Amino acid sequence: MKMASLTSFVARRASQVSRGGLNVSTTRHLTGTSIPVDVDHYSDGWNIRDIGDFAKDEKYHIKTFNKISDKGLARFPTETYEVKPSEWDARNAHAILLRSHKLQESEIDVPVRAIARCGAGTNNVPVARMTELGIPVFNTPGANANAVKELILCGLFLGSRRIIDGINHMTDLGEKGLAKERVEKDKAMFGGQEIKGKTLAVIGLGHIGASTAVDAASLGMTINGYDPGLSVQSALKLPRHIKLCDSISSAISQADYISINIPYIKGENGTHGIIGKEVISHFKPNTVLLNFARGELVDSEAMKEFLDKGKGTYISDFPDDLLWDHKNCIILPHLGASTEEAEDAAAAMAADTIRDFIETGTIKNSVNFPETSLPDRTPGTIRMTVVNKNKPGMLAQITETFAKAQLNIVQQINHSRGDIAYNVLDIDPSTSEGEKVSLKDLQKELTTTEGVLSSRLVFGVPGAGYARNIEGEYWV
Amino acid sequence: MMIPTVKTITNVSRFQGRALSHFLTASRSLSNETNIDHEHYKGAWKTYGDIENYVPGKYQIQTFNKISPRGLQRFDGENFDVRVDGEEAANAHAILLRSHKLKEEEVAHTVRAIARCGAGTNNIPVARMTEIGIPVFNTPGANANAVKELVSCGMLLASRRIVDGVNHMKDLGSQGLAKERVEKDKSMFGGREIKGKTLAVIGLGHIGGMTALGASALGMNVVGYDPSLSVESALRLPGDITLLDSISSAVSKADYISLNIPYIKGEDGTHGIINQDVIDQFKSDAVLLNFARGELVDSEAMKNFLDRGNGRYVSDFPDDLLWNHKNTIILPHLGASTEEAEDTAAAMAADTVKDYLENGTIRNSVNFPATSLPDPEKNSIRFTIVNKNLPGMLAQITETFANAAFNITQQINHSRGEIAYNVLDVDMEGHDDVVSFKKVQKQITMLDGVLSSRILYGKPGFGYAKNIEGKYFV
Repeated sequence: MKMASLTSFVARRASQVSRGGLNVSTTRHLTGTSIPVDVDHYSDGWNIRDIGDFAKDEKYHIKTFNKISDKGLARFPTETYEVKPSEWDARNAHAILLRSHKLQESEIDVPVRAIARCGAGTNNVPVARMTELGIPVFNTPGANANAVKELILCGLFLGSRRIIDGINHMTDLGEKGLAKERVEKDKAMFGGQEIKGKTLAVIGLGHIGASTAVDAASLGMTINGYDPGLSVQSALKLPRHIKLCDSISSAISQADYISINIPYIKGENGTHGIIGKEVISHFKPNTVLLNFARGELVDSEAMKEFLDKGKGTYISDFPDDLLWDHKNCIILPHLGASTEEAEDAAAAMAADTIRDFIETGTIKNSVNFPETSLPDRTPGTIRMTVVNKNKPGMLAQITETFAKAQLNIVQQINHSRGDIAYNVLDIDPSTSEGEKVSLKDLQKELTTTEGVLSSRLVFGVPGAGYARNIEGEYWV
Repeated sequence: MMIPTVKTITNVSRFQGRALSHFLTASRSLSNETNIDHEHYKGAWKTYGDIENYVPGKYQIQTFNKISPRGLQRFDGENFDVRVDGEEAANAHAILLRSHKLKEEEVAHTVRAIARCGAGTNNIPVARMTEIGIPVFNTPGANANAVKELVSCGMLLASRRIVDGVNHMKDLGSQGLAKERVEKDKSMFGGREIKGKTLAVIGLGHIGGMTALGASALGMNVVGYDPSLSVESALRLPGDITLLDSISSAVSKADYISLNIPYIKGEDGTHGIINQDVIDQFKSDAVLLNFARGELVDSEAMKNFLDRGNGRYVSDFPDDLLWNHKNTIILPHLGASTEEAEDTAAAMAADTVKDYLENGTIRNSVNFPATSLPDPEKNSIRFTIVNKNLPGMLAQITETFANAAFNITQQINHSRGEIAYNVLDVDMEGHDDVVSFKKVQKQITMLDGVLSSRILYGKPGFGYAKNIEGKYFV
C-alpha cells in the first residue's frame, strides 16, 4: 500500500490516509457484537481536504444548504452527527440537507450517500443524475401540508373580495389624510362574494389537496376532486361528500374556485402547462384559479387571455413574467411552506429519514429509490446495503458473492424502481471460517461487480463502511 | 268631518289633477267590508312636495345607499312603492338604509319605521327616534358569514407577511427581477400557522359565534368572553370552547384575538374598551383582529404595543394613528361587502318592515321591545299604539276603548327603556255600520304620553296618527 502525503490528496487518486500514525486498515468493534471486522479506508482518494477533522470526529457529517430549522437539526444526536452549513466549506459530507438551493453536481462530495430535501418538490436537485450515481434523494411529503393549505385558504378569501387592492387603497388614502372621509364610499370598489356555498375543484388529492378539500368543506363549500392515482389511504383523508370526477376538465367545469395541488414533472407525459388553453376553456367566466403548486403548471398565455375577459382571477405563489401586473392576478413570493412549523416539521422529517437510512438502511420518502425496509437487524449480524443498476442477474451475482465467502444471509430484501435496485442484507459473520471476518475483500468484490454502484456496511462507526464503484474505479 | 285648516288648504291647492275631497276625507273599504272614515293630512305633514308622485294605496319605502334589488323584491309591487336612493320619497312610510348617516330632517313625519341593512346602527340617531316613537330595526346575523370569512382572512394575512410579500413581488416584477430574487427574498415574509394556536373571541353573538366555530374547524383552540351569552347563542358555539369571565383573562393566553361586540357610546359604553390595561395582557406577538368598530380600540395603547414587539393589528376601519405602521393592516370596511350579505340584509330588513307595517309585529328592533300578537280574528281590527313608558298609560288606553264601547279581543303590551308598545285587536261586532274609528284614534293619540297610533286594516299607507308635542297629525 502506498504511503500518503498531504499533497497527494489534492488529486482524486490519492492513496492511503494517514491518521496520526500510518494505519491502513482499521479494526473497529461492531455494536452488539465482539467480532472484529477489517475495513479499509481511503484505499482510493476521496476528495477530502479536511481529513484532519474527519479522522478526529468519527461522526456522520451532514452538510446543509439554506437555513434549516434548528429544531429539525436537533434530531441528529450530537454524539454521532455533526451538522455543518455549506458556507463553512463542510467537506466529507455523508449526507446533504437542503431547502430550495439549486444543487449542482459539483457540490456533492463523493462520500455523500443521501440527499434530503426539506420540502415536497425536488426540482432543485438533479435527481436523474443522482439515480445514475446510485444516490437516493428524499423529500418530506406532508411536512408542509398545513402551511400550504392555510395559504390556499387565504387565497380563497383574497380571490373573493378585492382585499389586497382595498388595503393598498387605504394606505393611499391614509397618506392623503382622507381615509375616514372616503372609506364608506370607496369600499364599493372592493366588495365581492362569500365562499360559503360555492364550489371548489381540487386537482391532486395528496397531503395538501386533501387537507385543502377538508377545510374548504368545513367552510361550507361544495368540493369536486380529481386525482387519477388516488389510493384508499388517501381517500380516507378526504371530506366525506367530495365528488370525484374523472378528468380535470369535468372537475373544473362547475367550479367557482380551483386549486391545483399536483407535482411539476418535466418532459413528455409531464405536467408542464397542464392548465392550458383546453382546460381553461372550461372555466366559468368568474373562476378563481389558485396555484400553490408550481408556476410551470399553468400556461400563462392562455391564462392571460382568460383574465383579459375581466371576470376571472389568478392567484399564484410563483413569479409570472407575463401576468405579474395584471389587475386580476395576485402573485405571492412562494410562501406556501414559509412557516416556522413547516420548516421544523420538514427538517425533522428529513433528518429522521436520513438517520433511518444511514443507521438501518431503510428507505422511505425517496423520490428515486424504492421504498425498502427490513426488520431490525438481529443482534450479532452485520447489515450491508447494495445499490445497483436494475439489470437482469444482479441479485444472483450479489448473493453468489456472499455464498463464495461462506457468509450466511440471515435476511434480505431486494427492491427495484425504474433504473435502480436496492438491497439490504443481514449477514451472519459467525458462520465464516476462522474468527476474523474480513469484509473488506468481500465489499470490494461486491462493489466492483459490474452494475453495482455502491455498497455500505451499516455498522457502529459513523462515516465508515461506504464504498463506491465510480465507472469501474473502486472508492472506499 | 273637520274643516281643513288654512295651512292645509294652501298645500292642498298644490295638488294637481286630484279631487280635493279625495284627500280631505277618505272612505275606505276594509278588507272585511266595513266602512271606515279616515282623515288625512289634517295637520301639516311636511310632505306635500312630491304629492304628484304619491301613490295612494301603497306603502312608500324610501332607501338610502344602494340596497340589493333581490332584497327589495320582498316588497310586493301591489302594496309597496319602493323608491331607490336619490328618488324623491317625501311621503315615505318607512326608510331602508345601509351606512348613510341619517339626519332627523331626512325622516318625514309619515315615517313609521327605519330599518338598517346591517348590524350596527351608529349612523342613525336612535335615541331621538325613540323619543318621537319611531322603531329602528337592524339585521342581526345577516352579515355574519361575510364578516366571519373576512376575519378568517385577517388571521391568515397576519400570520405571514402576505400583503407585504404581494407588494414586493410587484416591485420585483417592475424591475424584471421576480424569478431571480423570489427564493431569496421570501424569507422576509414568512411567519407561522394558525393551527394549534389559541383564538380569543370577545363577543359571542352571530358573528363571534361563527368565527369561533370556523376557527375550531381549522384546528385552533378557542376561548371566549361574553357576559350575556344566551342559551340560543351558546348552541352556535364550538362545543369545546372555553368560556372565561373577563376580557383580560380571555386575551392573556391568546395568539389571536377577535373583537365582535357592538360600539356603544357614552358611559358604560364600549368606546376604547381595548385599552392599555387589556393590551398589557396581550402576548407580545398577539394578533388583534377588529372587524367590529374602530372606536373599540385605543389606538395610542395599540401603537405602544405594536412598537414593542411582534404583535399585529388588523382592522376593518381607518385609523389615523396606525394606518402606516408596519405591523398594521387596514381594510376598507369590507366586512359586509358581499353580494350574499347585501341580499340577506336587505331581505331581512324588508321582511321586518313588512311585518311591522302589515301586522304590527316588532322583531330585530334596537330600540323597541320585541312584540308579536297572533293574527287578528275575523271581524276585528288591529290598533298599534306607541307611548312613553309612564305609569298608568295602559290603563288610560284600555279605558278609552271601553268608553267608546270597543271590545278588545286580544292585546299585548311591552316596554323597553323609555318606550312602550301596544298591539290591540278590537272587535267589530256591534260596529258594523259606518264606523268612525277616527274619533277613538284621536282620543287615544292625544292622551298625554302617547306618541303615535296606527290602525291596520289592510289599506297600505293609511291609518297613522301622531301626537307631536300635543298637536294631532293624521
